[in-house]
Amino acid sequence: MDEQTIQDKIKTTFMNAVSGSSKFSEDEINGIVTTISSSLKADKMAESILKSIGGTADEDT
Amino acid sequence: MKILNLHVQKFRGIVDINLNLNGENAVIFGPNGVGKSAVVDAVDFLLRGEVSRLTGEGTGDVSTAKHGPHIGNQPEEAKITAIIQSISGKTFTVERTVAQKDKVTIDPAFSSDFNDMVAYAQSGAHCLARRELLHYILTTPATRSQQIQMLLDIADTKTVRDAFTKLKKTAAGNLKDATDSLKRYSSDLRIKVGAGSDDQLLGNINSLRAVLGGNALASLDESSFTNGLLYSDTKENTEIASCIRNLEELDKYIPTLQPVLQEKLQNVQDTVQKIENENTSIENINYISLIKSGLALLDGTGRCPLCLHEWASEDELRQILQERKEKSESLSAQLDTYQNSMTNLLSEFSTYKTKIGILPQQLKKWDNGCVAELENRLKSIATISFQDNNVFKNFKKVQELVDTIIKQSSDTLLDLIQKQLVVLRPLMDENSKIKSDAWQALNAANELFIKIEELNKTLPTIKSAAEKSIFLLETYDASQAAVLNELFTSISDRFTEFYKAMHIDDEKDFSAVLNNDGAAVNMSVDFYGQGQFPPMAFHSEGHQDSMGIALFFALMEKLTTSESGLVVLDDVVMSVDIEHRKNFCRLLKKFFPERQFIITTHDTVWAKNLVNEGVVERKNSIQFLYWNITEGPVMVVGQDVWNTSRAKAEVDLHGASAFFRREMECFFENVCDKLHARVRYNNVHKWDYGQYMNAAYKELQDLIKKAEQQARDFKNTEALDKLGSLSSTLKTQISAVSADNLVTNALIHFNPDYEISKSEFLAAVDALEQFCHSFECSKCNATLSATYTGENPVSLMCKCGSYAYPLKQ
Repeated sequence: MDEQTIQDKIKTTFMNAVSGSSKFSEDEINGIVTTISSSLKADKMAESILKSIGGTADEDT
Repeated sequence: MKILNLHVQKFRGIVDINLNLNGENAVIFGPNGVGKSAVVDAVDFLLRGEVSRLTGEGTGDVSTAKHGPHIGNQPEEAKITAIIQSISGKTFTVERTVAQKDKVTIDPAFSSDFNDMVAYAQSGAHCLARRELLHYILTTPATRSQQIQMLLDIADTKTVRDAFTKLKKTAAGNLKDATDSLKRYSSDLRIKVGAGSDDQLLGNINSLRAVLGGNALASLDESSFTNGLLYSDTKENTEIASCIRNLEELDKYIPTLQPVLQEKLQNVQDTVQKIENENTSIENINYISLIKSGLALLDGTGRCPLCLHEWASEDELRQILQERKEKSESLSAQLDTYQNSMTNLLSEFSTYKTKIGILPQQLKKWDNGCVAELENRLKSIATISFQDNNVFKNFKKVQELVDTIIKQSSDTLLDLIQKQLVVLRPLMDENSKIKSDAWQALNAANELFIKIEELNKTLPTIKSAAEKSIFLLETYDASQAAVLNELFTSISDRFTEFYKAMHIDDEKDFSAVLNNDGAAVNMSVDFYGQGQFPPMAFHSEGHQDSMGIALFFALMEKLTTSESGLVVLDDVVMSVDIEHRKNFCRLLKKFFPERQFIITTHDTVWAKNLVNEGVVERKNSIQFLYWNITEGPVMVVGQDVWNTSRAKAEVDLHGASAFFRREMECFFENVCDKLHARVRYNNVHKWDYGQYMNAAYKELQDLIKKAEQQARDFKNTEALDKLGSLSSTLKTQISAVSADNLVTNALIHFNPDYEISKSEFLAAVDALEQFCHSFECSKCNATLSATYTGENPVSLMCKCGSYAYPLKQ
């Protein structure tokens, strides 16, 4: 019997790659991991991650 | 999680049954329609609050709420209660009623323990029914993928991937918007101050400041463009100057409008022409995903996955689908071009509206007919809806409106603008007008400059977010592929191992490949060394059932909950022959000794096999004899064949004899199997009780002789005494059994000339009970068995070790 669910394994592999990439700050990483572990729908999840990585467009643009 | 006790009341044909399973394996057997599956439904309902068979596709108006209670009973009376032991050893009671199917009562409340089991059950891994085997084996790669994703609980990974896809698209859109805005603001800024390039900005701004008596700025970002300027004018002058500027701008713009519209409309028309030349209906776009799925679903059989038409060559079908896919994709790309060119055309009307702006209100004081014309112009373009105009079907409507506007003469408006300017210009002196224009230009330029500065500050972040979004999606895909590839390799290996455990005799070199290919799980299996083929291609139905079971077990093993102890197998080996069923028993014992299996079957022989092979203890062998609406299933638990036969003889002697014969035949067939006894061969492969019994007796005596010879060689007097005693007991018993053989045979064949008496039958039962016990260990009750090395028996054994006699070679 495995110790982690398959979903968790994918998330762990993914987060390890993200953490090791030096592209993201600690806050961004925390934001991403919290969001993908949530029960949000895809649209809201995307919105939340975008907020975490600072890509939200200015309303004027 | 294991079920210690299951109490089912007024549920799915069950009136009231109480099963003491003690957390061990159980077999529930009996003919069709006696309520076996109701027990499966009860376990399902207890865990999930639903009955799988009453929900989902094809169940129509049937529902757990309406059809869960036993007929004539109320939902609150339909109740399942179980005493459960968690993997950590906690014992608790769980209860659920149909009336409150979403509420489960746990006492004491070890909710997390039960919740883990519920989560596991939601994926469907707690129960395998024969009809579900089809979903794993006899199915398309896409359906198999869905079934496996559901079981492995990985369907939710799609949500995360969808989120990253959406994120990438949004972030890329934001970057494009920001870049476009920056270009537009920069261009507007240059126009506003009359600069041909950015290098001229500072000089031109300083020239405008000079008009207003201001000093020159050293750099653009030093301060506000109007910093240090003192400018004021009357309200009326400001309004007049604004009207003149707006009219002059409109005057320059109007002559350019028609050619620009003409050019943009031509672009749209060209694209429309290309789409029409594609000779493909626009509706075909809607079938792109269907065609793509169809291509993924091709399974090598040449059958169309949608209409099931059999094609002579799958290559031909694949080529047709491929062509349709390419045509549809090309059409889709053309439609994207159409949407872009239409958006570009319609944006011109936004510009036109902006240019007219608030002129109709501003000009009212000095109007000489211009206001009405401007309002008419606004009205004519307002009829073009700016929503959904990029939908292809609206093209003709938009084209008509644009054509009308292009054909409108500009002369009247241009003439009115000139006349209006003639009225306005004398109202303020030239110097005031120049100063007002400079002031307005500097303010507008400053506003644009601030926006540009802000965008320049945020653009790196927006750009970085777009790059990060690409990285996140690619990394997620790579992570998913890595984990799933490893998972499917591991599942392939375990599937092969389980299948080989069941088919070690006929397919010891079996191999299988499962791979995850996006939306499909492809599966190919070896067929006797002839190559890899889809599982349904050459293997028999029985072999396919074995594959379904093996794959289910391989997948089930991958589930992570620590509470995944219970598995219900609902009639799953019906196409598997007896030899492979024995291997199946060995598979359960070898690979899943810690799980609790509840197995249902209508096959009495299979139920006995499960007991004889040690998968199920006799006390957990539950026979459902018959069913009626008032009592529900009538069952016998841990059937004692001797007392049951005696009890049956009291009411139905012929029925009792038929039952007894079947049981004895089953018993001695199992003994022959365990001892490897030699039954006289016949080509119909059918032997009766007497043939099995005699072969079993002879074989055991031969084995005892070999064991005695070995004991003698090693001077093991204790073994010699025990074996001698067993041999002489058997001799005495076989005489008694043989004396009753006539009785038994008469019973077997229902000889009409032989009227059996109850006392004769009971004597036969007594004699056979003694005789049968001699083939079992008195301590562990296991049937004695012979172990072999090659063709030679090497020992006589029982399960507990009380019998462990080496044999003379």
